[in-house]
Amino acid sequence: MKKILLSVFVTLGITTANAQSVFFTKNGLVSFFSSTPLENIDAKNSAVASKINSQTGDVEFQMLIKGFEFKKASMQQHFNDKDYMDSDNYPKSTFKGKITDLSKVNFKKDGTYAITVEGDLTIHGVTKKVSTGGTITVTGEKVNSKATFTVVLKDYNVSVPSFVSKKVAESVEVKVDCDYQFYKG
Amino acid sequence: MKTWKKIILIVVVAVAAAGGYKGYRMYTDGPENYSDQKAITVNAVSLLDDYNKSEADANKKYLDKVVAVKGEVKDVTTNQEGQMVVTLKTSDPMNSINCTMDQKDAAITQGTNVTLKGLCTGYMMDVYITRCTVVK
Repeated sequence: MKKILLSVFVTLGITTANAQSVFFTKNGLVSFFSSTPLENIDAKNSAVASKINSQTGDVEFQMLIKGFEFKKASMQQHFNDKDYMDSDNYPKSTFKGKITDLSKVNFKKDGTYAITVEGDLTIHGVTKKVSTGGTITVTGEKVNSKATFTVVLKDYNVSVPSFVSKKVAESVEVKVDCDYQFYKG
Repeated sequence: MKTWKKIILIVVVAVAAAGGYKGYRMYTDGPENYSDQKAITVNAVSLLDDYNKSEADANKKYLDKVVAVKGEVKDVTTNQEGQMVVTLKTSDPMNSINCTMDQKDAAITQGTNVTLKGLCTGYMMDVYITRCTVVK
């Protein structure tokens, strides 16, 4: 009986520990920007799913390509086209990685901490190893992650048709800005 | 010979006009309006069930389509862009239909039944609908 109780407590203890170390959002923000001689193109996706494990440093991002919103319907359509992001066949973009310098972050103390994240970025069905700097901001039970990095389109087999190359840049600046909540199970 | 030239001229002018119009639209149009488009009506429970069963099949049915989703409001929150986000209850306690509202003045209360119309952008635990408006 004591053994059973003990194992129950141990199990509960482990579950609580795991639950307490995860921060998550289902509506984080990722935007991108590219400037070309003709016009600036920017789009926002405010339905990004992400989680950070404060004990292991594991970081995950997932977003739907069709969730990027542009100011013009024609731009949005072009972005999703078969010859660009081909979002019918590749509906998601993901990042799975780790905070490599997790010890710099104190999740129990308010503040902004500079970090480095390394991992696999998948866009348009192509996965590449990437590394970028960013910040983690802790405010009470809330956490925010920010990062800015450049994506070179041809690295992900996204071709820019020559007739629109003046309107579409060859690389885009991606900005991550996600507010997380404590995962309460 | 003369009529032949005329026909070519008309075709050229028509093509140029169409191209010009398309170009003009590309520079001047705003975002797509979904609120007055025809929608696929589905209830929140079966929408998530369809996705849990097979994401690929469900995508064929709903992805990039205008849908009107009927369900019970689980939660109303605000995203980082200041937009209202309404989640609808499903048979899964963890995952919902995640609807970002286009409409700023929508009066939506937790626990009530609503029908929200917008674009289905896909599935990642939740099923996501964007640019939503309330269907009366």
